[in-house]
Amino acid sequence: MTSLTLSLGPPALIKLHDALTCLSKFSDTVAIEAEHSVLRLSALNSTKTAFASFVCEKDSFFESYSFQAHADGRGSYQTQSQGSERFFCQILIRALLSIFRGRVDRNKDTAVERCEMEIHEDSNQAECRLTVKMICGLGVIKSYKLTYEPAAIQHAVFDRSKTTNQWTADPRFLKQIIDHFSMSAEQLDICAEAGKATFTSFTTKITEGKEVLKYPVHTSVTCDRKDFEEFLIEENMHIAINLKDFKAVVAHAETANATVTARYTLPCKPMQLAYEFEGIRAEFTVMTRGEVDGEEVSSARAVIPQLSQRPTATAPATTPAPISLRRNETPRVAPSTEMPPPPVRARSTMDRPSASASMDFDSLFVPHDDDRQWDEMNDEDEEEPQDILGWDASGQETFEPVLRDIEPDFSKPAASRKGGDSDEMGLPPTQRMSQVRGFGLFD
Amino acid sequence: MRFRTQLKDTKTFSKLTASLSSLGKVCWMRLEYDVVRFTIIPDQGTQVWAQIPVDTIFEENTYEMESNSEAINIEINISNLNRALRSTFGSSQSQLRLTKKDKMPLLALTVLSTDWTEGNMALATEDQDQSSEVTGDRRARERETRITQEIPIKILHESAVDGLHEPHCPDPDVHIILPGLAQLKSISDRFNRLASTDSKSKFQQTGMVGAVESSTTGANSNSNAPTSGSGLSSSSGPKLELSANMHGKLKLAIVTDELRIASVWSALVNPPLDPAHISEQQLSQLPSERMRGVGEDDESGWAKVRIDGKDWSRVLSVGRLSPKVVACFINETALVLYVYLPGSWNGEESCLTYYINSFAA
Amino acid sequence: MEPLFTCVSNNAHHLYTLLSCIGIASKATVQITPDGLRFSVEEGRVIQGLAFLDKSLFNSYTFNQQPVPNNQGSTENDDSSEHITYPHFVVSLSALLETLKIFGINDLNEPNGIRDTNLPQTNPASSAFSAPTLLMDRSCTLQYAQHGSPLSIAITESGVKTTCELVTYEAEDATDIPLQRDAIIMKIIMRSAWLHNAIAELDSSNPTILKLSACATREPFFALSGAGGPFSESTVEFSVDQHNEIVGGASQAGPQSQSHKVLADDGSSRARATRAKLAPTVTETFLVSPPSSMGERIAQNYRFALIRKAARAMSVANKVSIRGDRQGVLSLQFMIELDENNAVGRPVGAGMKAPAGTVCFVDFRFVPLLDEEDAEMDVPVDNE
Repeated sequence: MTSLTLSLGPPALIKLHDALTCLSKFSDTVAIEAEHSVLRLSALNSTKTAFASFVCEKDSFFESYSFQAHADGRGSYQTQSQGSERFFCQILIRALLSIFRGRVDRNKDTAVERCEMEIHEDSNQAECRLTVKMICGLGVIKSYKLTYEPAAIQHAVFDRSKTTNQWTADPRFLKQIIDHFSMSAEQLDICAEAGKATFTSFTTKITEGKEVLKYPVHTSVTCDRKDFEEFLIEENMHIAINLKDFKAVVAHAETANATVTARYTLPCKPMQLAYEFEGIRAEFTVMTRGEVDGEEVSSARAVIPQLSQRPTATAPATTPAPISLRRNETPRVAPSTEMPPPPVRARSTMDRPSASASMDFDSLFVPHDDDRQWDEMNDEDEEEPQDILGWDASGQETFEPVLRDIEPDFSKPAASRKGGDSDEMGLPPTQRMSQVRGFGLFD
Repeated sequence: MRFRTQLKDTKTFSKLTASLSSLGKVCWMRLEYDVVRFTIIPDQGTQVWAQIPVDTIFEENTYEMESNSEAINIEINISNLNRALRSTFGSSQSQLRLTKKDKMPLLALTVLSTDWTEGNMALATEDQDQSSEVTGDRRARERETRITQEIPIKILHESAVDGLHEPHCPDPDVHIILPGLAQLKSISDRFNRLASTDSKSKFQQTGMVGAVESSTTGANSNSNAPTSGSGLSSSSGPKLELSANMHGKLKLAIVTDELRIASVWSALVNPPLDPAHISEQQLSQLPSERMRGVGEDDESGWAKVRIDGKDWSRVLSVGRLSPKVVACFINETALVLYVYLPGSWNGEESCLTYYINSFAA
Repeated sequence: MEPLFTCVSNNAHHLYTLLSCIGIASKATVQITPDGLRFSVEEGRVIQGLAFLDKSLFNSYTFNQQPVPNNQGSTENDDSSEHITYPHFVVSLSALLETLKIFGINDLNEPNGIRDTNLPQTNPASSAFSAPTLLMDRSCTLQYAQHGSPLSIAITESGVKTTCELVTYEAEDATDIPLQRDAIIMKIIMRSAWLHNAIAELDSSNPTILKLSACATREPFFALSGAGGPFSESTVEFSVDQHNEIVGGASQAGPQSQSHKVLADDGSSRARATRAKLAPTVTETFLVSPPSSMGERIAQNYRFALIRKAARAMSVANKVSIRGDRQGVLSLQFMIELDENNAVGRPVGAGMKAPAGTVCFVDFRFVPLLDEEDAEMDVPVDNE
């Protein structure tokens, strides 16, 4: 029998929600791994090019945490060596997000005071259940039972000791850069030249011939290396990552108010974006593309290599190298990569005052007068009473406000973006000339 | 061919492009020596012809335009331009120029931002002053950031635009200054919603039809209701009736199966025509002067057009520029809006002209 | 000819607030009575909503009642026959709500309500018009000229006059969902916000069934659960707050708001009194007395999608009375305090007392589910 019992205070609940929201941008399911001293939440995207992980420390994140494993379960735990048992399972993120909501309770009296979670896995019981109990004020108790699945969990391996390029920056600064990119941009190229860093958004989608106007806008933002806390990058090396992943990381780092450190070696080798805050270690390992030894790999048709379980060394320079993935079943190859010392800058993260909210930066991009009122009325979702019982925790709705966070688009309310790409290039016309009285006016 | 300029009022430029992009994405931008023209002619719906003096949006002394044909004609996705202009907010310097990359013509917007935010890296603390010595070179400093937005465009040959002419209109029956566009748009949008809830409820009401049918005759008959609300596709909205007279009244109305609703504004201004351009005799023969003679309560003194509600709402998005708008009604035929940007009221220079056809009843 | 009915309000927001609570169907039946306007909506005979606009909500209320013979058909049952002498008709409720929203349109330049955002309002027109003095010269008039006339709504403000004529339809023979007043076996009164919060919580797991469980003697005393959802089973239990029991009386001067104190004062004295009676801390009244044939616990199921429709009322109301009869018919009666000062007042939260506000009531009734399959089958129908 395996049992995990933990409890969380209200601030940790918000952090848990934020982490889940971030993970939901990578995958539908979250992998939960319990060890004696940490709980890890992770997600691997479907193309296996990005791996996101949040490690919550037993002592600093939880109010109480107790994990016990016994070797009579059904295999979703393992014993690697004495005292390092672990348990893992996976759950739909949407299901968890329906419970852990980021919003503040409107009713102070009945706000959540404590959250208790339990997993008891017993080979005698058929169902895998996670129970969550929210103890609220005035005797209100909210409880949930969730089903989970046993799973084999994969980790992307990233060896920090081999890092040759490293920079650290404030997420709000990174967000300002992102804000300049067009919504449809897919990739982000990072390059250092003459003491400056240039972030360029581009899209590899090919648009042919006459549709010149549908070509994506290329945006590049060049800033001084002094804008970074740390900046050790090989000059003139272009390295590109998926912009959407980068946005997800920056958006979360911003809510966590933690400076982001990027570490990488060469194009087509993985890059790790990492930060720590208040009992959580966040690590994102993403695949990169770019030119290796002068050879262009990031051509339009280049496929981003998958994170894979194969060893990295075998990859030829021209085909991007895979990130190696390690299954938990296999013994650890390099424990040192798994538990690296905290980055040098960790302290400054903690010391940073949480002043100057991101709104100050937003205002750069949002006119002071409310320009939105001039936009086209949105038929479907106008004036939803704010109290409406929505599916605020299921998939889309939770996702949208988050998207809005990272991509403030003052020209359109978020809901009206549902139209998708189709209205990118031209609204369908409204009046037929034939419907117009034939005065030959506007010929 | 050469075009290069510093941007002057990017706020106005951005709002202008936002308003234009609501009507269509493909915009013909014509750069001349003194003016810049923006024209959007969607396949269907309202077309807009805007004429903006160079110095309204560009720094005139930096404006360089060279072309054999004395003008440069560009086709551009106006939403891309609008989006790119957002990067200029809060910047110290913005330059727009025509360039090429891989043989592709581009409009390149380069923004130099020296004081990006107060939230400098590792700074933005309240007690910055006290600790300035400690923070050393992390002290508040001018941060320089360069943003480049490369917008793909097409260069149009003069012959390609030869055939494009601004519509010619008969003299209006009624001309009137519109009330605040914010209010007008809010009410128009409300009407559009009323028409669409109508069509929605028809959908849901199949169970009650019996009772409904039997009572409609007893109630206010609206057999002449247009088929509004029917076939509400994403692009075509309900038909609004907009009418005005020469006694300062403007009326917006819609009729559906379930209701008829009208909003009436009064005490609006029917602007006098410039006597410098029109002789007294000509003036007296103008249809609007005839309409002015018709009594205030007389229905025949009203000129009316039927317009697409959604299209109208897009047109009204120009309200973000806080303009003054003169609406010219050509009864049952068309509505022409002259939209003057603030500060150009007299000069008549910065003017956007919207041509809206009337639907048949 | 003098119209049959005319009323004038200079605060259409109140009318909107009340009517939006029952905005669950596109059409509503209106009945004009000497005391006020009765709006009722229903859907599939399993949910019914009723809002009564008391004549005190209006600045003037003129009903030239004519003796109308009962010629509307003889099949009315007892419940509604007393109403039949008053004019009644059906109008489009969605259109009425949209029209009422035109009132004060200058205040809310942004359709979603400026109060939800922190954006500064720089439009000079709107800020000028929201000055209190200018709010005075605007009005909303409802008129019904005679039987068969349209219901006309005239809204006048800041230079615009809007007139809307809603087509009136003959009312169907409406039968109220019967609540057996003499067989009420459950009556629970609590802050509506707490019910709203609980329903919202359950709703996030998208259940199909709401299970209500109440018992006077054993825990859980009062619990609501959502079942049939794809992810999880969730329960909100209203228990006796042990913590407050112990600290409650002493910690009154805690960080809570004044209004909370009012409640807590009640609550603590009540808590002591009701501890013997075993009532959840949040309830003001907790009466559960099932007939002996049912056992000690009342357990009823309702279609969640229907309960969800009362969410707007739950969020707007101050208090709710939850009643159930022997047949399982559920009545939610919402007490709504309309604030005179705050046009779009939402007297939600920890008991904001509206100063001298008008109190109005909105009622919902629900038919219980007999078995669970019932809910599963019907769910697609109410796809909104």
